[in-house]
Amino acid sequence: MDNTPTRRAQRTIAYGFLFFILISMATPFFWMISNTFKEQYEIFQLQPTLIPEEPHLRNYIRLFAEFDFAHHFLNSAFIAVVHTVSHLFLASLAGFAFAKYTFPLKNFLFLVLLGSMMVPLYTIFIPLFVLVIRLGLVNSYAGVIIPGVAAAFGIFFMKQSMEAVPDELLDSARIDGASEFRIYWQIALPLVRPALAVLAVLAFMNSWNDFVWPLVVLRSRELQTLPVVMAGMVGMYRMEHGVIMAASLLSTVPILLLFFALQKQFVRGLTVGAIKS
Amino acid sequence: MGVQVVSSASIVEDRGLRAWWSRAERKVVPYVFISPFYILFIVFSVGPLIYALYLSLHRWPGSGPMRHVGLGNYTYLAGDPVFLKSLWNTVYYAIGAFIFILPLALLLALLINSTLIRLKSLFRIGYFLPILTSTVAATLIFLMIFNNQFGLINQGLALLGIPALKWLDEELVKISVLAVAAWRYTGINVLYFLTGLQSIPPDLYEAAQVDGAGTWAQFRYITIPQLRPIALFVGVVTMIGSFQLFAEPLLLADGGPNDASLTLANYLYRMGFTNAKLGYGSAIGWVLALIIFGLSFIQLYLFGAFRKDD
Amino acid sequence: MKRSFTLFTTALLLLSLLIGAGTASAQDEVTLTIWTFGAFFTDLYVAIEDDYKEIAPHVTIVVEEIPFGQLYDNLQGAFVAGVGAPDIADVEQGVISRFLKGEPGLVPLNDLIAPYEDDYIMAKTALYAHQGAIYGIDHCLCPVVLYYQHEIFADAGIEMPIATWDEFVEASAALTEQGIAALVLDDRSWGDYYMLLLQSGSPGLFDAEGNVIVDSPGNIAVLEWYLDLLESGVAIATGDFHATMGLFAEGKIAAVIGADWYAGSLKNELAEGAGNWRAAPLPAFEEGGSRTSTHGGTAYTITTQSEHPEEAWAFIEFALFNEDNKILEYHVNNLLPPVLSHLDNEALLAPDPYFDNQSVGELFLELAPEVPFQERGPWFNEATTLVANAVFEATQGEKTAEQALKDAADELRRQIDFG
Repeated sequence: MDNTPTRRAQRTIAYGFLFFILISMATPFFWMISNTFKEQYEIFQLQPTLIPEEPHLRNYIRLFAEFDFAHHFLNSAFIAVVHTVSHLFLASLAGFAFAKYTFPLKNFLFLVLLGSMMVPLYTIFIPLFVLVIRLGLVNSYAGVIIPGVAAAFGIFFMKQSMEAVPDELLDSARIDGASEFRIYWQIALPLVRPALAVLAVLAFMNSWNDFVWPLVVLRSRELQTLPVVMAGMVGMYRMEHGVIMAASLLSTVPILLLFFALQKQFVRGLTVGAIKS
Repeated sequence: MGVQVVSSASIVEDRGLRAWWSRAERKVVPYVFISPFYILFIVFSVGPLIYALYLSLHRWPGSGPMRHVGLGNYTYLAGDPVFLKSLWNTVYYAIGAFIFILPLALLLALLINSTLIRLKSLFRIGYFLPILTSTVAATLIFLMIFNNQFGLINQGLALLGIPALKWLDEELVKISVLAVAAWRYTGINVLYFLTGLQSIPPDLYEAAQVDGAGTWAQFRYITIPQLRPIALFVGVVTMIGSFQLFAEPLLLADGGPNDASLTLANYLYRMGFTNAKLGYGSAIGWVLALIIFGLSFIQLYLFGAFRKDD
Repeated sequence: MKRSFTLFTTALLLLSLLIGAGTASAQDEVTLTIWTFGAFFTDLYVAIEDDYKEIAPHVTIVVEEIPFGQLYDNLQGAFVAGVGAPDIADVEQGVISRFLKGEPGLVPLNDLIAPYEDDYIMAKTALYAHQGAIYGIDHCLCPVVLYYQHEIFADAGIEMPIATWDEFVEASAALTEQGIAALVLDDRSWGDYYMLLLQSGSPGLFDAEGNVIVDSPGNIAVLEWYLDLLESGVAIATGDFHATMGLFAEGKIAAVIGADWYAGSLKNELAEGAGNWRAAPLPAFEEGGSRTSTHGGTAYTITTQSEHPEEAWAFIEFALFNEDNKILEYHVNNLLPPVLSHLDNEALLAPDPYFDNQSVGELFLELAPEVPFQERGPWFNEATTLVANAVFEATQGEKTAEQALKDAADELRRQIDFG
């Protein structure tokens, strides 16, 4: 059955399409990798080379020697891990509440939540700047992490994912006397593992790449995060492209590792049937 | 698990409290669960939002006396050619995202999810790579690809005997920006759709197959309705994202030429920061937020998000 | 003899240390915070920090490097907040105008720079001035010259340097024939046009009273001439910096107008082009006319929030008027000192292998007094956005040069009225 001619043709077309998109999407990334091994002039050639003519590691060596890459890497890692773990918890908890309860003012509160995503940061940038100073959050990691820890985006995503959790499961747990938190923790969460995995990658990536907000809060060089330091490499009068790209590439490694680590979770872990029994 | 062992002495007074809590728990708990967002919202956002609203009624360069102009900033917007141009550009990007990026992402997600395909992990990660590519690298590469005279696309067209197209001039620059946005954001939408597809219980499909439903019928009557919650999320987030599009037009064409690729968010930044028109910038921000809010509200309504029986 | 000398100097050193320690305890400890962008300024501050500690032991310098863009958003936030600003900020010329509106949060530096007015190239203060008050003192002279690939010109039988633009246009026909553009000019930005505008003797986009002169006859004439260069093929517009560098390497573009820092870009991006390049004065608009312009710059500013403006200025003086420090800065970032007495420093006059062993420094020294004056003020950003659009509309043939500049000027006046 799996090898009928139509099925084979379908498969060929599907693979062809998927690979075509894959190549067009991934090429710039591999180009970036290739550029990290090039001299500046080769990066600028009108006829670009995908394989470096004379590959070398100087860009990487400079990165660690001149820019204290490792130190800022660890700063970023700390912030991103704390943010991701707390955001996953708070967003899934709130998403669960919005998806699985009816309560007065729910629609209104939900619109407020969505509304908070719609105001561009630059509209409230200056009053936020004032607030950070007044609240004494300057140069504190708490000031970087706390304001975004329960961001609406994650709550919205978790709410929509929690919609798929069948109500009967929750009700039968209630009849068994489980507390509401327990129902969230032991029944709803395992069922939305694929969504949690995706949110984990996104939350980590957003925190890892953010630099507008960390710049408002963190003034001292020792505390600063990787993107801030990388943005500083983009000079006005001079740009070290090879070094910047080496930094960019290394800074994607943690996100890629997380992606691979969660690879299995993207696919349905527990089925509804497994929980029922 | 249900029955718990409680010491007999406390059982009497406990019963009243327990009975109350078992009635109240479901009423109280949702507010507790959602409270962190609202606490942070009140601390960090309400004040700044009101301040921005207040500023939008004034003209003020950030220092010196403020000039109260009532709704003057808002009425000026209606006749500001660059505002109108950037509004149109932004709408263009949003429409492009909905008719181009989202269907592509859905198609890719369906293919990856189908039983036809192996190497699922490869495609998932491959489509995610663009968002990990550094802006500097992406800029360099896309300028090489799109350059009006020497770009790789035009070199390719020349091989086919087709004259060069000016990808970064007024007529085509929005399409180029859209292509960069598609490159960057399709993969993340594939991931969203995949989680939606993963949450559909497989027994639904099994039952449908037993009933003799074909692939299209399964897609039409199981996949589409089951995907609704995630589709709503993707729709609203894409709306917000495309109306707040900021980096791509700057990266590719600096918002130009002649403001042809400028977005509302770019214009807001130009007015509020580069030109230090704090009041006018705030007015643009509020108008932008209201537009997004209105459009999202319509989507929520169409998707039945407010229906009681949902 | 030698020993006694060592003893003597050691004693002197100890004495000076003691006195230094004495004065330090007498004065309060001062911390100066500097906001800057990019390693090329940070590296300078870090390099001179220790020397400054010896001169002013009670002063501690804290450098906070913030990426370009965010630095000025944060500075604006700090001015609105009334707290949080640094003592010294490096403000780039392209972003100063927003800080000149309302009541500037920057200290006027007129009295402080006055003693140096014969040595400092005062034309550079005009970029940061409004209504007579000077709010910034530039790091950089940023004089504009013509960088050219000498073999391309020699092969075409063109003798460089060329005295006037008319002669340059005439001579470049020999290059155009071979499919080589003599010059690269931008068709969608204001920078190249503005450099040439200043060279032509225009004060720029405003006159001394702050009136808009975007559409003055002189400014229109320069844009018309600019369009001619592009249309006749003497100049080419490439669309972006990367393409320009690629075309230099392929020998398709022969020359470029650029400031001192552009030499740094060439050395960095086109390292293998060493020896191919030379520099010449800009051809003049008429015989005996100005042969240079200025492009770019970053100024030291002192904020009104600083509690130690005297100490802040003392540090700026040390960084800016100490010749060793300026030469050090040149090696860090290729920015030439805007100080006449520094420009004849041996390090700057040395033959430069990248430029075919030409002494480019000699050229800069010669041109420094000619760096043109300009008028800017608080509406400069609005003006440049509109002029960039006008340049594009005119080069695309959507409008004539006159119409494009008139429309830009009208819109600019409207925006200024709006406030």
